[in-house]
Parts: sequence; C-alpha cells; structure tokens
Amino acid sequence: MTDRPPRPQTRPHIAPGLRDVARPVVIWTLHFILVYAALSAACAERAVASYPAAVIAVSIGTPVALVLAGWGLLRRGDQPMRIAARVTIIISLLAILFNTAPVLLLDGCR
Amino acid sequence: MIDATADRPRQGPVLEELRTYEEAWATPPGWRRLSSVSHRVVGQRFIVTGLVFFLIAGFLALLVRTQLIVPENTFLDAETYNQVFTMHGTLMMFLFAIPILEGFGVYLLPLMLGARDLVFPRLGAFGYWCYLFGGLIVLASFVFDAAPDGGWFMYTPLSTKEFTPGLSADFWLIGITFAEIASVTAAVELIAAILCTRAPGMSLTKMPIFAWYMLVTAFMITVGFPPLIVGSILLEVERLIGLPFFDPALGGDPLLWQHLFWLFGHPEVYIIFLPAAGMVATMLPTFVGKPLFGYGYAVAAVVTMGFISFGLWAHHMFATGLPTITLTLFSAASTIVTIPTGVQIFCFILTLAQKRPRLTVPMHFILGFLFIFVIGGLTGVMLAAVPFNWQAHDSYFVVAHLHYVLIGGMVFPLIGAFYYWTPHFTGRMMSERLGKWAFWLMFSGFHITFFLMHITGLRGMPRRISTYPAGIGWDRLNLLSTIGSYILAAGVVVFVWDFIAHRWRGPLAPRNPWKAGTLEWLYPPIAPGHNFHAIPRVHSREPLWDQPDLLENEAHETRGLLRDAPHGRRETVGCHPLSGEPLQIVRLPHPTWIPLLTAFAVAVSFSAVLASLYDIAAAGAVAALFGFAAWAWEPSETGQTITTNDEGTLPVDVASRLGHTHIAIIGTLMIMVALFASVLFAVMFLWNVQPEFTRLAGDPDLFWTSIAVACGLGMSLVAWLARSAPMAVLDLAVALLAGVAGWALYQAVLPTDPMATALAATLWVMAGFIGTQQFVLLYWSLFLALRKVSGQVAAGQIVPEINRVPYALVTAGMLIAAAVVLAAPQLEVLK
Ligand code: HEM
Ligand SMILES: [Cu+2]
Repeated sequence: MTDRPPRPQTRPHIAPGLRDVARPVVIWTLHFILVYAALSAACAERAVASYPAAVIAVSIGTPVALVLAGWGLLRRGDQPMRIAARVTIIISLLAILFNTAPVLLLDGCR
Repeated sequence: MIDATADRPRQGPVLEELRTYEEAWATPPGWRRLSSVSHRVVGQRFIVTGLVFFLIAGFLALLVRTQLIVPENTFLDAETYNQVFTMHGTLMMFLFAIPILEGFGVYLLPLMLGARDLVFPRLGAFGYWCYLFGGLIVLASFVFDAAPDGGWFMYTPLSTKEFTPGLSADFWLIGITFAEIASVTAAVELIAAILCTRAPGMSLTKMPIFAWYMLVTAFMITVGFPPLIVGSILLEVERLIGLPFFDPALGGDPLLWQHLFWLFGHPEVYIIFLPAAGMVATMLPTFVGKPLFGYGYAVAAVVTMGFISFGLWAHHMFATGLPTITLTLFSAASTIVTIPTGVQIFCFILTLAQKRPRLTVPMHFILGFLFIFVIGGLTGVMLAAVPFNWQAHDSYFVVAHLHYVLIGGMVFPLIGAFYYWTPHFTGRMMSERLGKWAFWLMFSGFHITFFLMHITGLRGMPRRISTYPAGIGWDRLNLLSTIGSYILAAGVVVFVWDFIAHRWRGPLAPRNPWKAGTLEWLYPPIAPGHNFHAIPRVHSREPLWDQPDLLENEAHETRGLLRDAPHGRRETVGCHPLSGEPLQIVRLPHPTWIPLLTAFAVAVSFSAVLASLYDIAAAGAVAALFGFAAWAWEPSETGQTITTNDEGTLPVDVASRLGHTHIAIIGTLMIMVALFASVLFAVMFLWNVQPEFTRLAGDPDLFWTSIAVACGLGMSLVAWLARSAPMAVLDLAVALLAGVAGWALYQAVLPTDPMATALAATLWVMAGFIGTQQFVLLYWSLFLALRKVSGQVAAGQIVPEINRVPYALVTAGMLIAAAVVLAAPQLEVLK
C-alpha cells in the first residue's frame, strides 16, 4: 500500500465523467431560467418583451442548450461515472425539450 | 466479538494500553455529556428529538381526524382546528422530517465513509441546539395560546398583521427560521464531510450510495432553504415595522410569498424523500445479498432530481391566475421529473429481481415504501396536469397525495431504518415480531386512512375545513379514514414501544447483524467513540463483502491509517474530494460548551425579537458574535505533520483550496448566493408585475453606489493579496474597505423611502443583506488581524486567508449586481 503516496495534484480519472454529469443539468437549469424569464418578460404587467421576442429567445436558446447538454453523449466507457453521465445527459435533453413545451403548444400568453 | 456472557451491550473495545488515545475520545459523563460534540451523540440527539416531534405532530393529526369522524362534530372549534392542522403540518415538515433525516446523516456518514467524526463537530452541535430552541419557540406558541393557524405554508395576506394580529404568525416565522439555520449548517457540514473525509481509496464512485443521496440533498438544502428564509424575513419585517412587501396597494404582491415559499417548498419534498430513498438503497442490497443494481443510473437519477425539482415550484400555484403558458412550463417540468424518479425506482425493483430478499422487518418497510410511494407518484402525475389540478386543488385528493408521498416515501423507509440501525445505537436488536405488527398495522391503517381520501376529495371535500354537513356523501368515508388513522397510530405506538423496550428486552446485537457490506458495521455494536481505530483502505463499494480480512480480524486490529493518536488529540484523515486519496490530517475539537452557549445567545436574541425587546435582542446577537470568535480562536495547526502507519506522512490542516474549511466556505457561499438570488428574485418580480411603482419611492444615489462597488473590488483585491502576504495591515485594509463599502451602500439607498413602495423596501433588504456580508468580512478580518498581532499565527498558517478570498469575491459580485439593479431604472429613461 505504501506504493501509493498521497498525490493530490494528479487529476483523478473520474473528473471528466463527473463533469459530464454536472454539465447537462446545469445547462438544463440555465435553459429553464431562460424560458421562465422569457415568458415572464412577455406575459407580465410590464411587458418588457413582446411575445414573438420571447419565442425567438427560446427558439435560439433551445438548440444551443441541446448541443451543450448533449455533448459527451457518445463518449464510450462503462465506469459508473460514465454511465451516470450518459443517463444524466439523456434525462437533461428530454427535460430541455419539455421546457420548450409551452411555446410549442400555445400561441400566446393567455 | 461481544462477550457472550455479558448481558449488557458495551461500547468498545477500550484499549487499556492506549490510555491517552482512549481518553481523548471518551464522551464526558453525566450532565457534561451536553458538551459533547461527537457526531454519534449529536446525531442521536437529532434523531430522538425528531421522533418526539413526530409523536406530537402525529397526536395533532389524530385530533384532526377525531374532529372529522362525524359530520357537524364539536370536538374542536374552528379556531383550534386551524391551529391543530397548521401545527401538524409545520412540525411534520420542519421539525420532524428534515432534522431526523439529517440526524441519520450526521450519525451514519462518518461511519460509512471511514471517518472518526464529522469535519465540523461543533457546527453540528450548534445546529442541533438551534433546531431544539427553534422547535421549542414554535411549541411555546401553544403555551401562550398563540399557536399559528395560517396553514403550514402561511399564505399572505392571511398571515399579515391585518388578518393575523397577535403573535401566532411571529412564533411560526421566528421559530422556523431559527430551525432552518440548523438545517443549513448541518447541510454545509455534511457536504464537507462527504467530500473531504473518506477512507483512503474511496473515490466518488466507490462511495456508498447513501453518501450520494445525502450529498445531493445537502446541496439542495443550501439552495432550497434560502428562499423561505428570505420570505420569512420579509414577512416578519412587514409584520413588525410595516414595510409593504406583500401589499398590492403599495406595489407589493401576495403572490411573491407564494413564489418564495414554493421555491423552497417543492425542493423540500425532494429533500425529505432523497435521504429516505438513500436509506432504502443502502438496506435493500443487504437483504437481497447483492449490490444495488445500476449504481451509475441511481447517481444520475439523484443528481437530475436534485436539479429538476427546483423547476416545479409553481405547480402549487396553478389556481392563482398565472398565465396559461407559465402553467404549461411548470406542468411540463413536473411531468418530466418522473423520469429520474422512475429510473431510481427501477434500480430498486431490479435489485429485488436479482434474488429473493430476506423478509426482515426493515425489508417489510422497504416493500411498503415501494408500494405506497409509487401510488403517490402516480397521483402526482395526475396533479401535474393543469385541468385535473384545478378540479382537485385544495381538496382531500391533495391531502391523500401528499401523505402517500410523504409517509410512503419517508416515514416507511425511516421506520425501516430504525429497525436496521438501532442495533448500532444501542447494541441490541429490536423485535422482529413487534416490528411486523407495527408494519402491518401501519400499512393497513395507512391505506384505510388515506386511500379513501382520494375519493372524499373527488367528491368535493375541501381540505382545512373543521366540519362538514351530513348526507352529502362524505360521512362514511370520513368515519373510515378516522378509524384507519387510529390503526395507523396503533402501529406507530407498537414501534415506539419496541424502540423503548428493546433497550432492556432486546437480544444483544452480534457483529454485522444484517450481514451488510458497508463500513459502519465493521465494529461489533456498540462501536467505540472514535469509530475506527485504524482507517482501512477501501477497494470496493461494499468493503465488508469484498474485503474479507475486515471481518475476519478483530475490528480494532484492522490495518489502516492512524492506528492511534499518542498525542491525545482527536483527528481523522482528510481526503482528496474526487479520488479519496489521503490528503491531510483533520484535527477535530474536543467536547466544548461553546456551541450550546452560542446557540443559546441566538435563541435569546430571536425570542427577544418576538417579545419586542430589541435591546435584549441586540445583546444576544453580540454575545453570539463573541461565541463565534471564541470558537474560532484556537491556534492553527497547519504546518505540523503526522506519520500514519501505511500511507506515509500527512500534513495537518493543509492550506489548500482542497482543504475541508475551504470546501465548507464554498458550501456556505452557496447559501449566501441563494439568499441573495432570492432577494433579487423578489426585486425583479415586483418590478415586473407592478411597473407603475418603479420610481415612486425616490431614486438611489448612484455616486455612492459606485463608491460601494469600488470599495468592494478593492476589498477583494486586498483579500487576494493577503493570501500570499498575510499581514495584519492587509487584514485591517480589508476590514476598512468592507466597512466603507457597506456604509456607501447605505448612503446609496438612503434617498429611497422603504415605507413608500414594496420595490424600495426590497432594495433596502438587498442593501441590508450585502451589508451583512460586508460586516462578516469586517469582523472576520479584524479577528484575523487581532490573531496576528497577538502572536497566534505562525508562518504558512494561511487557511483563513485562503478561505476569505472567495467570500470577498462573491460579496463584490453581489455589490456589482446590486449596482446594476439600483441604476437600471434611472438608465432606462436615458434611452
Ligand atoms: C401519522 C399519520 C398522519 C395522519 C393521520 C395525518 C393526517 C392529516 C390530515 C387529516 C390532514 C389534513 C388537515 C386538513 O386539511 O384539515 C393533514 C395535513 C397535512 N399533513 Fe398529515 N398526517 C399524518 C402524517 C403526516 C406526515 C408524516 C407528514 C409529513 C412528513 C404530514 C404532513 C402534512 C401536511 C404538510 C399537511 C398540510 C397541513 C396544512 O394544510 O397546512 N402528515 N394530515
Ligand atoms: Cu411540489
């Protein structure tokens, strides 16, 4: 066991997988905030933005979010962190699509 | 092994030849036990106190059900009824569910991870006392005949001074906020413990799954509790001095409260569910005899749930008139969160499918959990659909749903956990026979009570009504629900009796009684106070299954790090957060009264606010500040080294950003940022929904705003410099700049009148919050200067300087955000 002295500096091999777990959910969060902010800007008293502007913001933000969150989906490997990353990415992609449901289904604030 | 002739469980073994070491870890006897800060003692305190709150709240539930047993009943009058259901919900959610689960985390995590104690034992003890005192404040409302009666979510405007005069809502707001301090401190502590004190070799993916659940839960607490803390402060300030946050006539909005409450409230139900699910994920493999199926899937599910559950809050507000498109967003998010939940449930089911489980009592409760929670999840999906939600809103259908998820998702796993881990607490087994009685009574009583409520609700019975007329189809259902609740309560009584009586009737627990694979069962119960004589290297997620030498030898002969501590100090091994490789030795505190005294000072301060005795409140706050200073005064030990047996020499308390205190500061800053973001949310929300009030209260002074930002940036720069050149002058400079920044910010908002509009009032709160941050930096820097001047610090002992940098940077960031907010309305006109 003595052959493994503490090496805090070496980058542990789970770091890339962990990053791929964290990134998609963070992207989901940002995308959710974007959609919520766009709808709140368009549909509240102040009417900071018009409804079409909100739709445009969501339409631009969504593909970007999908690409950023989906990055790494095809990376191979069967370590637990890699599996976790893959599942996290798939769930986040679905959830990002669901965030866009309101603009896809409706055509105004109502 | 425990001596078979001994008839009492013993804690140990106590190794006579290591006198100093054993003495260092001994729990003080008698009433001095209250000064203990060991996670084993503190965890048990949390658990027992939580159980007591559960029993009180359960008793209140029985009062509710008894009132509803027949139509037009007069057992409780309407006012008492309101108090009883409010206190039931409040105690269950705030003072039972979260603290008891954190208690299990506090008790179990170091044992599972291979640590001798939590990294910040005093913080844990402080949190416990805050929880206890906060809970007592809430309970005291009964004594003053001022029990809160506004429902567990205290909606405005009902809870404002106008409609709830008297002190009842203040008891709620102050007591709950106090208890929440306990929850957030425990969360920071758990984060640092999980990331920084694992056994050598325990990388993140070799961590027991319970640690993942608790890690995500703890992060959720740091982000999820602040909105309610901010909401409570706003409401309390409105009640005390009349700032109009929730008053639509002055540009406020009652819905602001609902947003802040549910920004907390929805994540809260996941915060309750996840640790309980983590317990299931720990117990289930033991009884199946196989590792958890799909560890990676479970990790992904927990992490995604942790995030997505923050995007659901407005599904509690479907009936408040939000735009349809916003409802659609929240409906969609509420639907998608079922995917990770489902992934996780399938991990459990597939684990079960691998082999026939041993049908012990905990296993019964696990099966009960799966059955009940899945039904609750399905009614949850129903409620996520807006039209159905409108139909079922505020009806007994919702009461049925919430109890399916809360009792199924949390209480059943919890009772299972009691049966599973009690031998670890007491050294004795609880009764298999009584346990099965408890299970079947609870399981059948639960369904009789709550399944029928779905029907009662669909037949139109609203929740929170103290009585109902006869003959409209609700009578028999209510009668049966009440009888069911008595059966459920009988099950709880059997469990509690068993929990008490097993201490003298239960058979002695053998070593690893359930044949589990996780490290907490390494020692025969009751494990010694230091948890591990030597901390073994770990090669798998189930070390007790895969490393046979661990159970073949006597536990205290295990090979590993730090076989004892001849210098008589408490210490454990600190690790790299990702790889789990040893990084440092973490020095741990010995028993001390300071956490109790400090928490008491805070309690005095909070109660004095309640009694409008502001001098005493201020005195309590000052005393608490002294408490914190006394706490942190101890000499730094950075620079020392310890020779461990197997892994070479390790430094003590390294000055590094991977160190445990720095990780804890990051956790604390998450809380601070979430608090600030909640205030910012309030500002933007009011600005957005009540535009005509934007500039009615006067404009902030932009000159002073820029001074504040400049000082904030300067303060960060000096703090950063002080890391490489730790000198008292630089500390004084940081303190000075922090002070000036705070004062300038005050000058900046001074021209606006907080009584005039809600927006101006929230701006004042924003400034006040940043002012508090500046004050912390000021106090901290003066403290560091004092330590340097008085010769407490040796060269290289720069842990506090390292930790201050992110704090200063984040505070400066807040100042910049605040400057934008203060300037925006004036710049808007320019365009
Ligand atoms: C021990 C068995 C329990 C019974 C018999 C029970 C019964 C009830 C009943 C009848 C109500 C509705 C009161 C009304 O709307 O008029 C209620 C509300 C509630 N219960 Fe329970 N409950 C139990 C356990 C729990 C647990 C374990 C939790 C949480 C961990 C919980 C949380 C709540 C909450 C949050 C409310 C809503 C209170 C409000 O409307 O403000 N209950 N309970
Ligand atoms: Cu919810």
